[in-house]
Amino acid sequence: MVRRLALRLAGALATAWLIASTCFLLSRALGAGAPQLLNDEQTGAFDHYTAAETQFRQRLGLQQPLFYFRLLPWRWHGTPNQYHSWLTEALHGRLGASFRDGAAVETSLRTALRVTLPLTGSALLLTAGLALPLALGMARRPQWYRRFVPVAYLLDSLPLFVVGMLLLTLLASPDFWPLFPAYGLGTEGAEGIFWGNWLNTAYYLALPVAALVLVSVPALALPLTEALRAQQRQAYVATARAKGASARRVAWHHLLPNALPVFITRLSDLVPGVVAGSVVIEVVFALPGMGRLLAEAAAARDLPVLIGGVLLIALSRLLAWLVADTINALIDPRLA
Amino acid sequence: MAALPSRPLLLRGLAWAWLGGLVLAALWAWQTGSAQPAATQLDLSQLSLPPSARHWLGTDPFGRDVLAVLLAGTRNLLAVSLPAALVATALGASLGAAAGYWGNRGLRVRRAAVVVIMFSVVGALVTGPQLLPRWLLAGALGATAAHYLPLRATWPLPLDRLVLAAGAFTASVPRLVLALLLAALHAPSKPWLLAVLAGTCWPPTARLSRTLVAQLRRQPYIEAGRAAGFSDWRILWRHLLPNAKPALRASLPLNLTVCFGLQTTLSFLGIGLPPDELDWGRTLADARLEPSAWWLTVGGLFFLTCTMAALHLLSATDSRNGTPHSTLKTADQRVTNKD
Repeated sequence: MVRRLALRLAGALATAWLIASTCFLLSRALGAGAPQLLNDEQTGAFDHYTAAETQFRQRLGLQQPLFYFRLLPWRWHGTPNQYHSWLTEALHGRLGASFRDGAAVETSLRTALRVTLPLTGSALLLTAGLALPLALGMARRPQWYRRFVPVAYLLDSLPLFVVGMLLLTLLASPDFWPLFPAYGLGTEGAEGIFWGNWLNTAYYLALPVAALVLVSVPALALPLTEALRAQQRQAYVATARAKGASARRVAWHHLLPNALPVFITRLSDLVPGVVAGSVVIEVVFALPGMGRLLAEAAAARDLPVLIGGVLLIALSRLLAWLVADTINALIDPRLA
Repeated sequence: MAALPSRPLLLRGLAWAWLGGLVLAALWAWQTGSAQPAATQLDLSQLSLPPSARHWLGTDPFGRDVLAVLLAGTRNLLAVSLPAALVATALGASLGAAAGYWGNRGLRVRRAAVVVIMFSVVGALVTGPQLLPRWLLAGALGATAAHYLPLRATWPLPLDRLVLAAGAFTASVPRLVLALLLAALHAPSKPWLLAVLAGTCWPPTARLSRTLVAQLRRQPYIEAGRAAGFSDWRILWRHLLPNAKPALRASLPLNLTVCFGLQTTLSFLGIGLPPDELDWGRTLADARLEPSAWWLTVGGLFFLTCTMAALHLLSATDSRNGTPHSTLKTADQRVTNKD
């Protein structure tokens, strides 16, 4: 078990390294690493332009060779190269500086995570808490299931920002029911979420969390219902009922433990999905979190921030897979 | 699922009519060249007016008619998402079919060609941006040439493992985040957006087609075909593809919904298309300039929701015509499709 886990961890880390390296090398190979500093109108005298560009290239370390070697004609560059310095910095937890404001990427990611984690965390917990009873109910009543499936597929195919804007228009615009605030966190500045006035925070996060939950519940409830329905046909259910166990006891004590691995695997799939979903939701509801950071970085083609964010999300997915596998192996030893 | 009654013909007709209307709108926008009803010319007397007899869906914060803007945006939506979905489906279907048919050791390639290709990929990644196309071209030509060299040693190509690994690699980051990263690698342009959409949407189709072909490959009639001396291409094209088609046909509307959703989401975030191009996502993003103008949001949302519902309806009916087996698989594919 421990050996398997260590092997999987090594594999996961290798995948994360491969993803990050591919992103970095591809961005440099496509020429996106060198920002276009000035447009034609600002260029002015040619000397100014070249001087400014040289300065920026030196600041970003672009005057160094890209990789350890060059093929055709063969030349060995050795360690001072862009990839090597990026990799060593990344191993020390430093992900470079943003092209836009020069701020350290890991600092801005940390600040943004303080807003995003409460949002996505509560959305995940609520999704899991809603999907579980919903799936149990649908497994018992086939007509509920038949009605829920088309709605779930439609919700699943709608882009997330549509759901967010629908909620915003219906529940936060002055023309319909202005029940909830339309944007922001209700606090001065963006110092993250204050736990002191959590009631206020919950009020401001209600609509974003609702949008995330609404689109994630089908992805969790449908597979769990399928698994529960498959288990219901097994003979041990009839035995349990014949022994006099109530329907509720059969559902919670006999069916659920057998269907739980499906639930946990889907939940682990959802973890990075919810982080990605927060990209759209944070833009719609104007929350200063990680998703908005990534969206703005993509619009400005600020690659260090984007690569840092992608690396973080890939790591979170790999971690979620590992945790889910471990829990599944503990629940059901046949899966180990 | 199979127990459900077949969908009323009326609904299917409505769905087809809606999609046909979209195509007509795109053709109209293309013909009149109104895909860019200049954001520069502000009509100051018409800013953000509610719906009226003159402007059915009201006007936006730039004084343009919302209905006209949405209809014009259809052009870019169809010009990018439709080809992207077609490319993604074709790419996924062919990669998956090859992986399912040849497996891990069915296909052998010349060692010399493999060496040339690896060399050019490494070369393309570790040198500067100017040389990238040259490396790729040289790799393709070199591999073709190496195929005709007298070096006959071959390696088995682990095609199945490669396709699955590529799919898993693409799926290791959520689709939207991957699209954000890829879109930022290149200046905004339509061909690049098309490539980004196609490159992020192919894995589910590939997995579906791989499973289908791997199942069908073990059928007796395929064995008979092979015993009769048919070539691999003929078996794939004439015998396997027609049998896998019903399930694959349902994956085209699904890919289309995914591409539509991704494209509108990207342009809602202001990424992907050049800033002067119109698109539904951009129209909805404009709605945030004027929070009290509900008609801006409602118009865009109505168009998007109707399109998604129509595609969804058609894909559901399509998969029902297929084998009962395929329904489950497309259902599974659908739920995992979420960004």
